[in-house]
Amino acid sequence: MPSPKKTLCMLALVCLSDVCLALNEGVLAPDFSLPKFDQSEVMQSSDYLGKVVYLDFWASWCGPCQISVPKLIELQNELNFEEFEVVAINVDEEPNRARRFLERFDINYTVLADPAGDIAAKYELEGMPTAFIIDQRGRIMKIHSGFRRGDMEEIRNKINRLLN
Amino acid sequence: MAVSAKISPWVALTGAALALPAFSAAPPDQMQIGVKTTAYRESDQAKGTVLVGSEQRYDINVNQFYLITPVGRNWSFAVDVSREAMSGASPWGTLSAIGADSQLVMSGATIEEARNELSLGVTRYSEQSSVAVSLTGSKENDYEAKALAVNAEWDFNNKLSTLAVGLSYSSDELAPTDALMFGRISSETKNSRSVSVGWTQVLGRSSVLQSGMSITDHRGYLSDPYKLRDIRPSERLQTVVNFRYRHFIESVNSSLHLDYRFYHDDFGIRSHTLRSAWYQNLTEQFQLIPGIRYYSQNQADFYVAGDDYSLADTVFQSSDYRLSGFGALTFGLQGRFSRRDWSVSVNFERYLSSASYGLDASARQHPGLLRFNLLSLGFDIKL
Amino acid sequence: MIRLLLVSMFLMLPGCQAVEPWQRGLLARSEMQLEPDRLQAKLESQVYFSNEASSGGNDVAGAGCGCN
Repeated sequence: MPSPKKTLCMLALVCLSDVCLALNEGVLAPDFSLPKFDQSEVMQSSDYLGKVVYLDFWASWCGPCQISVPKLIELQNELNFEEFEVVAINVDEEPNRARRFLERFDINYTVLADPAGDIAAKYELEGMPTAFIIDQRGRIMKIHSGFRRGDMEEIRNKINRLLN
Repeated sequence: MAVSAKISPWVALTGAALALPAFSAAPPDQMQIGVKTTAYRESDQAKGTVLVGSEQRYDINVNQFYLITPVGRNWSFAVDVSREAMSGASPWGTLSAIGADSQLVMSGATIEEARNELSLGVTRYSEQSSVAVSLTGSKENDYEAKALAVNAEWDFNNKLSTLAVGLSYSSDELAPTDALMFGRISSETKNSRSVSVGWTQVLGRSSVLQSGMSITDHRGYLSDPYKLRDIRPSERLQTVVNFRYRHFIESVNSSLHLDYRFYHDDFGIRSHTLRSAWYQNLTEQFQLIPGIRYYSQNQADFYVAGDDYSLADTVFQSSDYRLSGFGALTFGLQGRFSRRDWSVSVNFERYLSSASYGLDASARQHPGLLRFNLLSLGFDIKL
Repeated sequence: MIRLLLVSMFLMLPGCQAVEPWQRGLLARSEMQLEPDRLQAKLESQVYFSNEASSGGNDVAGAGCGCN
């Protein structure tokens, strides 16, 4: 017979699926303090106020992430660094895998490390990858789940609207 | 003479939903193509087991190809092609004399034959579910089959659980070669319908368990027209329950696979199949995979050790080795080399079957039980 | 037999732990899939169908990596 604790586990799983999400568009993006992937410095979420941010949670094992990287490099190139930044948060539990993944690309944006998944939990990710378009005042303007070819069009439009 | 058990495409279809190298209802990220070539060689019959005919069994070469690709945002398309070239002989009948072991009457000359199969599938993906439809057709010179399958999946619990339901229908037509010469049926049909249900559950960060059940009903001509005396019922109901467990062991960088299947049908056959494989990552790129399979079945209700011509031809009987009581062991070893977008694999398997390997202690050895070796070379690439 | 299946399915649910979407790296590995080698699985299914009385049990695919 399942113990009460395990029964609660079942109920929690059912709950997590649809009902309990509290992070919506319009709310303030949760704070974070994470080291850069190359360990050079620690970045705070407040460092990005005043800029539009594309906050992308990714991992080396996530298929769609491979498609998004070149598109994000392109996006960062197009737009003014003073006004817009791509900030990629890596959730690989084993940093070596992420390092090998990054070596394949010429990354021109900031990559932060969250191997324990604490910030991912704060942002209540429902799937991988998930990205948040955050405005100059730190509000979540759009949550983008997954990444398919052709998604960049929509993302670019949203960001341009925020910049103007 | 053709292979005695005609492979209806429904067999391939029940594997149709094992489509993608990912778990839940999500389209593939990229186009993926794979090819595989296989040499299958059955061992010759032991001395004294053949009364008449060739001592050689079958040699089969198989070439396979597949392609899966995403189409737009919510669709994917899959093609599977298989071509087989067979030559060799197989048992026509079994004669058992009192006080002596049974012996086989084998088909004579080796025959060359080809079998081709094509399968096309389309899947539509939604937020938490997907639906797939596939059509399969196969053809050889004495057998044609067509099948249709529909599979639907729903994700729950943030994709930790998946419910899958499948339905399939197949229609086969059999027109044995040399029918007049050997007094065989000239043309017969058979159809099969199947329903399956499965539940896949992520148990933790490194383990998954799938359990499933399926029921299949075959109706029509189910006997083997190439056998000298083979009279089977015109209906067969099969039930299967199976479990598949996958567990990753971080400390040794390997994955354990454990599968169990229970089978039951109204021919009176019950079987157990246990498979296990150990996926050992030796380096980032190279994987060695030893595997083992154990199988045991009891004999069919109407199984006879030797063809019995004294029984009326309305009485069911078959001396087909595949309906006898026996057990089988397969030992396999695969090596796989992977780079980011492509991989190469070599796989060797050896299969041994014997009445003494089975769980049924009273089973008598059928002289037609076989041994085979199988060697495959495969290549996959993402584009 | 149906009882066996239902009981096992029921027992599976409480054994679960909530695995968050960002914790599914191991489950995404190719060797953790239910069927890592599509063509080998089809081939073996046909080989065993031709030589044994049983068939089936290869259906269905499943849950978990959370990749969108």
